[in-house]
Amino acid sequence: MHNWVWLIPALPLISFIVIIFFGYRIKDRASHLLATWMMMLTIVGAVLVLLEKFTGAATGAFTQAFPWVQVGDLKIPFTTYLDNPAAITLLMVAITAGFIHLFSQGYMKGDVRYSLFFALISLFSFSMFGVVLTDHFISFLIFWEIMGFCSYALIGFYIEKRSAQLAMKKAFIVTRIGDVGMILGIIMLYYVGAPLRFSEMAAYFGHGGAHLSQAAVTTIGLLLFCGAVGKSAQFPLHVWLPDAMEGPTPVSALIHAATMVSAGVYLVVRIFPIVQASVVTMTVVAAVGAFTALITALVGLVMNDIKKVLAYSTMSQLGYMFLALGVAGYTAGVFHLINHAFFKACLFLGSGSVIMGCHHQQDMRRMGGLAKLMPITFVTFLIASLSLMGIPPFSGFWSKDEILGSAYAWGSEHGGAYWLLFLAGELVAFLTAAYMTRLLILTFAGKYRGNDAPTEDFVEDQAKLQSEQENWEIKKYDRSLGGLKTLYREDEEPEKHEEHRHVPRESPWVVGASLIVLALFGGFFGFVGAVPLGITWWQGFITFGHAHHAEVNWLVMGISTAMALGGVFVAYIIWGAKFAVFMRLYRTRLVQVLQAVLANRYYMDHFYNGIIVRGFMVLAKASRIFDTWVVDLIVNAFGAGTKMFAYAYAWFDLWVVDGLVNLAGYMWLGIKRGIRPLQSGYLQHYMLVLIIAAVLFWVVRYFF
Amino acid sequence: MPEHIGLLLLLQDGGSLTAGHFVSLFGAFLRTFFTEFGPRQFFTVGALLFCIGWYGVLVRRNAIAVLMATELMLNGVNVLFVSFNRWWGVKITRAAFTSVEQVLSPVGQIFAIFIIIVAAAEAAVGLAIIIAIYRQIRSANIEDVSGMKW
Amino acid sequence: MSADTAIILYWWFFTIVVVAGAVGTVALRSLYHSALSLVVCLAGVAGYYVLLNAEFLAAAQVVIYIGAIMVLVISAILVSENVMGRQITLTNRLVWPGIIAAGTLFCIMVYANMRTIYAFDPEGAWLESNVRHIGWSLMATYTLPFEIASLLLFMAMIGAIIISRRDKPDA
Repeated sequence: MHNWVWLIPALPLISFIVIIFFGYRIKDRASHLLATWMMMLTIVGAVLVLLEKFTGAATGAFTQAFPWVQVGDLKIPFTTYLDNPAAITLLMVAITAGFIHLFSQGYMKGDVRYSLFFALISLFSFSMFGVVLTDHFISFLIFWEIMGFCSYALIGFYIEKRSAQLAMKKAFIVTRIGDVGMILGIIMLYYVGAPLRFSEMAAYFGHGGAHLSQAAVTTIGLLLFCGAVGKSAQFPLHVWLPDAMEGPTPVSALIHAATMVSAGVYLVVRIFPIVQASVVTMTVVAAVGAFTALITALVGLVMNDIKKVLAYSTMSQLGYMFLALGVAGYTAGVFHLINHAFFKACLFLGSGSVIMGCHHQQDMRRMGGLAKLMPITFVTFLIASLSLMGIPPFSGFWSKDEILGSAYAWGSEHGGAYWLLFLAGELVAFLTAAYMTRLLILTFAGKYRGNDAPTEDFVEDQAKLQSEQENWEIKKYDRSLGGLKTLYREDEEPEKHEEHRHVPRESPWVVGASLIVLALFGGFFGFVGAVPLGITWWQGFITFGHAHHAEVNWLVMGISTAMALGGVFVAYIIWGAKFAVFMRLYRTRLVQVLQAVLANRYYMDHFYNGIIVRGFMVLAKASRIFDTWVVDLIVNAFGAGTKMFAYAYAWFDLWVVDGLVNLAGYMWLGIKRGIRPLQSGYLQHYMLVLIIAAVLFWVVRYFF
Repeated sequence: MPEHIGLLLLLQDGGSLTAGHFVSLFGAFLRTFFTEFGPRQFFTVGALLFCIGWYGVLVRRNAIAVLMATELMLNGVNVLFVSFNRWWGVKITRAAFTSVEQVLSPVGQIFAIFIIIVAAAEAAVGLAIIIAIYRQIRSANIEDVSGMKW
Repeated sequence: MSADTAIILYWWFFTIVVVAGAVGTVALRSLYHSALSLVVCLAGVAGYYVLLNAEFLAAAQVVIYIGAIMVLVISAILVSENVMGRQITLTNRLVWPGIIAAGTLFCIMVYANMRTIYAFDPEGAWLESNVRHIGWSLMATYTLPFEIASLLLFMAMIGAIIISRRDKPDA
């Protein structure tokens, strides 16, 4: 299978091409069948690849080149580079993408752009496989940007919604900011003569990047890390990911939780030799990761939208992975990458199932008591949640323990401020458990609130969103064409729920099957690296440099378990048991202000909008004024001057130049009248001239 | 005139042109003309064919007749080629498999063959053009075809 | 020169045929008769080729010229029907200029012929007829011109068809 590994990206590409060109001809059923079964084939392929790695049939890294550009010394091949992290990530992407395709069949049912959806997620799967497999940085960038485009298009899948339009624009622009840094990094990498192929980086940058100065290595590492920051939604470019939840839930699960946002982490894994060669880069990666993990976990505590909670959780966990990589926990980082993708995909799909059950209601204040109504969703969601919280023995526990162990080792090695990283990690473990417990309590516990009278704050939020949308629609369509009305087909329009009480019901079997598979992976995949149980397969499989010493730090494990259980406990007594003392505390001014700050995401969006966006607006207006009054004035002055000159020149042209030209013309006319009879047009006259010329030639030749 | 075709006869009185020069030259020519079999005779006939052909091209009004006169000119040239090849062969070395032999090149005849080929092509295209013109203006008169004069 | 008398007689015979045919070609009033006269002339030229030990060329002259080109010319004459009767004036006003110019050219060429000594090497004379040499030369030495000639004929055929084709009836 190693030699045929290029087939894995090719299969979704085929389904993309077929669906995008024939999607309106073939039936919806055909497009989802094609896309899903192509992805199932890729799962088989990825499993075969991993088996060959595992059984040693194809050990070590494997590269395979398809030449693409050759300009002088610059050779850009489309190359696959299949080392162990690539193989395992390939399997992760195949499984999550495959089952999310399956899930989408149930979730997207009845959508007007059903086949377009499958085309886009097929294209996304293609580009994600490309990112995972590719070796050369240029081709990596190409796939990376295709992926960005798919994210953009799918966030704005419900293009009629104003919020979706704003979200897609925001996601595109914010990630581009990071990509500019990454492109600069690539250019610099080429400029200093370093290899652009991941497979050659380890040899070149080994031993602290001895070929280059430390400043150059640091700069390159930080610039490339910018791309990862943008794609993985890390501080300060994290603002796009919560808004990206405007897309359909399978998209949130696939792109904005499991795979694309993990591609930033994967990029750091690929360029880990560069990162490791500089202490500054390592520290920045770890600090950015830890800081993001902390602040986003805090925001997760107050969000009411179920998908937004999960989005903040995703950012927090990605920050965790960067923290792991920044403290040299390569093995732990990749481990958490894989585990997180599985259980976060499961969580998002579970939330999608919940949203379907509650008739496209995403707000947790309108849920509750779903545990009995949707048992499959509840059980799978619970397993994935426990895994995310880090409760033993679920898989999140093992990888989180690895990360915290690495942070502990790093702290004890370097001391001082580096202990903050470990501290932040533990704090995030606590917060993660807390907000997930809150989410579980609000969604699944108690009784169903969907038929109750809505609470005041919920009504306020809804009214705000509604007025935004209506204002925009009126502005855009002038009441002639409803925007949101085109989202669903007429015959699939859900019946009016306001008339009678509705009860959430379990989702169709495709949803349940996908949830079960992903919950199994998300909950129990971590056992491959369960060091305390003596299973060290993972630690032998994913290594960087020297082999990872698989030893158990019982202290760290104890602390992290205590933190997780403590988080669960605290969340239970605040949101579950609702003791009177906490409810009183909740109403104090300090807590209210804190909650407002968190609910507004530290006013980061306000800051960006108010300072940066408005700054650009002011700049643009100033440029326009300058353009109108200065540039246009100069241009007009030039124009007027040219016009004056043109009048003068026209006079000269008419009387002087034309006179000369006409003179020449009349002269030739006279000459023509003289020689015109020579051209009689009769062939034989020309022949006569010819023979006379020949005779004259020979006469001159012989007699003169 | 190339060296190997012939030498210029030295003029008798230091290069000046006199009537006696013409008379002696013509006498020598006539003396040998009727008793020899050589290139001189063929040259004369070829030149005569060429000039008659040219006259035909000049004076005939029908385009097909002009074409036939052109054939006469080509044949005059062909006669010259073949006759010169009869008396001036160029030695060439020809190697075939194991044998190497010195042979006289038939280049003149080859040239004549190609002239015949070109004449065939010319006749085909020329007649086609004549017929096309005839179909347009109902005339094969070459003087009626003078539309491209200016 | 002690040339064979028979060859000289043959030569005279063919010369008379060739010159008479050529004069008839340009002088006869009927276009059809002048074409037949040209056939006679070309047959005489073929006889010349036999005298010059070029049998292959003689055969080609008969087959290509008389058998193909002249048949084509005669059929073209028959197609353009007005040549037989209606044409009164056979020649244009260039008769005397033409005679003078062509005659002068002929005289100049005969003069050049007279004053040239044909100094040829008996070793280099082409004394035997050898068709094999011609075939060899065409196929080995002059392969490229041969192929180009075939291309030329092909193009001439296509061109003749396209030029002489009637306009499309539906156009």
